[in-house]
Amino acid sequence: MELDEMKQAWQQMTGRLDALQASNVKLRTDMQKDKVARSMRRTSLLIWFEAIVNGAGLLLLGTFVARQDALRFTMAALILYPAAIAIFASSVAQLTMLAKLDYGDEVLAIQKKLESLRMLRLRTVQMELLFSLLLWVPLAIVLMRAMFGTDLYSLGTSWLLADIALGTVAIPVLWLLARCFGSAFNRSAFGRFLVDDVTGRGLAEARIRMAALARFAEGQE
Amino acid sequence: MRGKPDQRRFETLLREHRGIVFKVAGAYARSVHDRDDLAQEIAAQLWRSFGSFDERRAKFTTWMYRVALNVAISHARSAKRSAAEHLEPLDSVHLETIAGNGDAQQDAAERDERLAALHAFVAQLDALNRALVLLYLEDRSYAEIADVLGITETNVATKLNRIKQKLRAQQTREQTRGA
Repeated sequence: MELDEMKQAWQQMTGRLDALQASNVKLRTDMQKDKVARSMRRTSLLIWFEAIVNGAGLLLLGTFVARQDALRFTMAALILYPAAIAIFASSVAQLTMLAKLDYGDEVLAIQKKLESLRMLRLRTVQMELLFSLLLWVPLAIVLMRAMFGTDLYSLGTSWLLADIALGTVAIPVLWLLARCFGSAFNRSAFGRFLVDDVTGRGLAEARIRMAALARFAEGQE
Repeated sequence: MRGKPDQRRFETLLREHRGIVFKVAGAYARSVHDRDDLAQEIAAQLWRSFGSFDERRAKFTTWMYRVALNVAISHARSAKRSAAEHLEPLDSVHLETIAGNGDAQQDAAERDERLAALHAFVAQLDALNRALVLLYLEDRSYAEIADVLGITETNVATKLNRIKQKLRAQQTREQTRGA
């Protein structure tokens, strides 16, 4: 059967479909009652939440630095600064991309924007995971000082070095665990997202989809 | 802020072109339940995007196809990720719903056969080529298909030719195997 014959079958089918659905299905546009619409807004709310938390974190870090008179605490906070700025900048970039999304634009353009947004989100989570492992010692120093007034430097240099080494070793260990036991997290969407991100699978898939979009635009696919 | 006249206008337009929503949803969903969910998702997004619809930039149907396809492709991508299975719309349940009751048995059998072939063909296409074929089956002009997808008319023609050739080759293979 040729594609044009399929077109005829399609026309017959859709004629029946119209008649059936006109009597059976009512399309709702009420946002409050629509569970699907809520799920679509979840990503947007999550990005806003992250941006607010990251912005607040940056502000608190600035306040901490301003109030410190001991250089060792200022140094710990300054080590965290570039990471905090990078994560906040990514949140702002995601919000900007989200604001520019108009589903009424051409399909290829919107799909590319959605894929770019997804790649940025994946990279940001990777960055957060990496920073939280590499920088957990200065983070602990700053948090303990800010919240309880505790000085973790008093535990000694060997403690600090051992913890930095632990954080560094944790990166490949986490990667290996995610690769070996990642399937155990497949039931939850968040767990799957995290495992895909740690192993780099999510980013690799996003790159493949981006390349497919480019090929489609060029007429290769 | 959009007032009531806007909503009334939107509802009139949606009622008039609701077939687009169901056809796009039917082409990307996995089951009848999924199709209904997707249709609601598309309708909700249409309403949310309606404020940015500009009739000087695009016809209402062109805009509607864009929104519907964008939602459906994103839905199919996330559904594929969560189910970790192949995208397989227009399944037997869809076809039963569509081709279901009424006509003489022979007509129904013939139609079912053609619909099954159509189903099998559409199911093997990726999300973007599925959009292209859907618009072609909907008898849209190359210019409108290009406008909806954001590619050139030449590209539309090239891709459709390629798809037709692929379909022919596939059927020749099947006939050879059957004989």
